[in-house]
Amino acid sequence: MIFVVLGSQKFQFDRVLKKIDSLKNAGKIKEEIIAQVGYSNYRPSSFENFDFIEKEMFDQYIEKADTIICHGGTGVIITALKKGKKVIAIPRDSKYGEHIDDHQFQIVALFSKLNYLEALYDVDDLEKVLHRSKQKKYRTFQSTNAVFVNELRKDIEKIGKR
Amino acid sequence: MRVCFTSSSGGHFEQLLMLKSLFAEYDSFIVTEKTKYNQNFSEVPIYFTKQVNRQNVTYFIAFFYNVLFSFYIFGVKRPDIVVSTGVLSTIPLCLIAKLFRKKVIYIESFAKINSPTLTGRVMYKFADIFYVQWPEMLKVYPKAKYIGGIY
Repeated sequence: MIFVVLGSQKFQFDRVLKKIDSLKNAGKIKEEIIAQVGYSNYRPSSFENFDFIEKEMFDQYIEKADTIICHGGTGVIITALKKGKKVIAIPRDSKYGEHIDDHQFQIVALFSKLNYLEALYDVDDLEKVLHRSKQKKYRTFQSTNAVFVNELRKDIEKIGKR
Repeated sequence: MRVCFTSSSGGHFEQLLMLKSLFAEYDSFIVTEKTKYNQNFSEVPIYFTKQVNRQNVTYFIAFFYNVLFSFYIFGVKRPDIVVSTGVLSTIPLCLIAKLFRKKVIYIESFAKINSPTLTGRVMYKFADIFYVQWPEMLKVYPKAKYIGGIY
């Protein structure tokens, strides 16, 4: 199954949905697709989609999916990588009115360079990239959360004392 | 010790939740942006600011609301420390905390790898401790602290 996750920003991300819809309609994608479209305007006709769902359901879809196609948001990227999913990330581009700036390019480019995921810049390459991601092995994400939390705790204790 | 954990929505809130294990260790509460989707969270008290983004023409009104709301929350809750994972909607609360001589810890977003956020640039001047999540960001913020990512 493919889970499409487009984030919570108040901007559309229609070009991704249109592309996936046309690939699905043309039979180029055979797998089941479910999409969380957020504030997008385009409504795909060939697969199930919704604006937002509750976190428990969201987590279930992530769990169930083999591949996550998502915008360049850190939340979904890390969540998917921690679950060992194949990730195809498309940065939101301000020139198409998809975000206020192009900061999503930073994380997508870096994570692609580090071989955590597939970066997709031109949606016309989606079919090719989807195919490639099925063959390819990606790096496993190593969490540094425990180290970070410990350090932050020390800081809180230190500066919180009056 | 009373600690306020604050963030805007989306990835910033995700990053805030990565600090979950600390919530129970202090008298904690959360201040984050109200969104359409459900931020189901019952472990600690949670208060909602208005979602602000700079492209929206009405963002100034939402921001002004957040300033007033932040004063109210601050007055009622009196946190000793404010921990923010960014961005815009958390500025009022952080600055109010500084105004009342409380401490602020600001964590620059994991999504920023080689350039600062606008909020980061403001908070770098005021925060008592400023974290970055990528070593390259130490060039942008030389006095920041880097010990790895929050994830």
